[in-house]
Amino acid sequence: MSATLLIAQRELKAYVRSPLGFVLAAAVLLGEGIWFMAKAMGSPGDKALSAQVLAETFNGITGGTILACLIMSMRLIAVEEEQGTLILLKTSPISDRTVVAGKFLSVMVVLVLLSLLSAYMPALIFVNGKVSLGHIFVGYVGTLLLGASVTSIGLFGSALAKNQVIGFIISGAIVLVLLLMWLVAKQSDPPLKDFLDGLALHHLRQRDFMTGVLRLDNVAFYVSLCFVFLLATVKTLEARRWR
Amino acid sequence: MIEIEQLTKYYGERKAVGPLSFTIDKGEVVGLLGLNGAGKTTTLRMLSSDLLPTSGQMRVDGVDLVQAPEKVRQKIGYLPDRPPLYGEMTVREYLRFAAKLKGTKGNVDKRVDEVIELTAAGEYADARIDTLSHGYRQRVGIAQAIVHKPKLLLLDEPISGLDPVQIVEMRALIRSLRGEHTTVVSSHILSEISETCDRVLVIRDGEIVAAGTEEELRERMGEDDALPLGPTGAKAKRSALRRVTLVVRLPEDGDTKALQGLVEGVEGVAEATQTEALGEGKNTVAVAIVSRTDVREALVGAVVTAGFGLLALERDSKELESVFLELTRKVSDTEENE
Repeated sequence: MSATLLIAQRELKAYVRSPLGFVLAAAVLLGEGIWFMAKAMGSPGDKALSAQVLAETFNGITGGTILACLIMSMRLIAVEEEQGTLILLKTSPISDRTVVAGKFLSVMVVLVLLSLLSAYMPALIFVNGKVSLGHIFVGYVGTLLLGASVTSIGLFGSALAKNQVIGFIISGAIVLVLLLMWLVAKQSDPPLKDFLDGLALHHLRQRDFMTGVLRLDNVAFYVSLCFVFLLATVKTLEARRWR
Repeated sequence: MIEIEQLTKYYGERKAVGPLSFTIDKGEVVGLLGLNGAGKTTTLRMLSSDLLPTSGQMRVDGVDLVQAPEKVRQKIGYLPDRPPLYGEMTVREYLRFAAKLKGTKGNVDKRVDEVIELTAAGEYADARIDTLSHGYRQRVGIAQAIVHKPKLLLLDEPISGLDPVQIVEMRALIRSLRGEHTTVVSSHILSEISETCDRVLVIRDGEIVAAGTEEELRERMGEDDALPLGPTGAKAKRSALRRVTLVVRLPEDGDTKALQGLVEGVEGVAEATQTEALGEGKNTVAVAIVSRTDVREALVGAVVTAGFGLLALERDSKELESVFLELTRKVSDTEENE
């Protein structure tokens, strides 16, 4: 078994053995469910199109995903630092890249499981309304890409901080700035407006995924964001050795 | 096994270690002895490649640690001052994880069973680590350090926080690792180093101030530090002196003067002072003896032949301590003089 899988497996076991994993999953699924009933399905008198209901459902799911990924990732490196176990990874014959990849993979596995558990909502719309499987698939692709980006930001915050609360605050602040970038863009003039709109984590980009539109530039944005923050995490760990 | 040349480590503007140069041969058990803050942990962290040096060279088994850290890490087992343990795992799970992480060759489960047996942690092999006592956590910490059969074993304060029984067991464990691994043990506890190591490196302010066996250190301290001692006025080197305490039961007709004469008559004895032997019952005497050579064998022969009851003959536990204090004080004095 490669070291990446080994680290991911250990992280997953730690989730399962602590109440955090279950409490977080339950809270996120409950929140998404409430959103689905109250916001997406709307009041009984509403006559929203199935596609609109599905888009609003994914809006709720992405909100839960952002929160879940921030909470799961804040502990990944900071807790190891607090417990004194990071040194085991740092003095083993594996690279810092492998450590970061293993940690990232573990959150992605949990995220996929959470997504599967939330699939009853799109399934209900699919059975009772008129939406395509492709629309649902693209919606989840967007959710996973957004989750991966937030996780990479969370990992970076966790690597910078000495404890998980500080890690959460750092990564939360970065995510918040990226989420609110569209508001700044609104107050700006072109070409700065387009640039800032392009940096917004959720606003325009997720709207495409939610409505079933898969665009390469959106995918490239999230992949790039992941790459930049995962690389920054690796470099932060490497820099610690020179401290 | 270890070659270190002009190694330095700065934390910002503050020098933590260096310039440090020493070599350690294959199979040696070497003690890194120094006060808190002397640079022992930083040195071990650099050797384990957790930290990289500001300047200088480190080679382990001929491989440069800065150039090829991952290759060197395969050869190293490291127990930090706080064992790196995952509380939610059982001992066996954790060791299996550590073994795989460190690329243990062959049957991992078999090797895990071997190290559990070697570290006498079998009783708790399937217990969660967060339920273990400090002593057992240290054992598991050592087990993870040796699970991949490293050539070099680095132990940072392995007996720190252990109770007396655990200390004895831990010393025995470290001694049992002799031969299989080159071992570096750091400590500020002198008896630990004295009991377990072949050679001592005394570190102060990040620099080696003395190196050698206990005997060599003692003799080195005596080279420039002579005191007049004994009735003949012969000069003896203060730190080259050995101190033992002899406890004897006097025979019915024996007196303390006869004992005094007997002890002083043994070749090499420079000074003998009689005191009360506490807790040994009636008619017993303790004699604090200072000598230039190891006189224990001759003393036993003389005392037994003369009909005294030999109750105890102990080396002064403060012997190495005085050498250590002398070494560090010498540096302080020099600094003050400057």
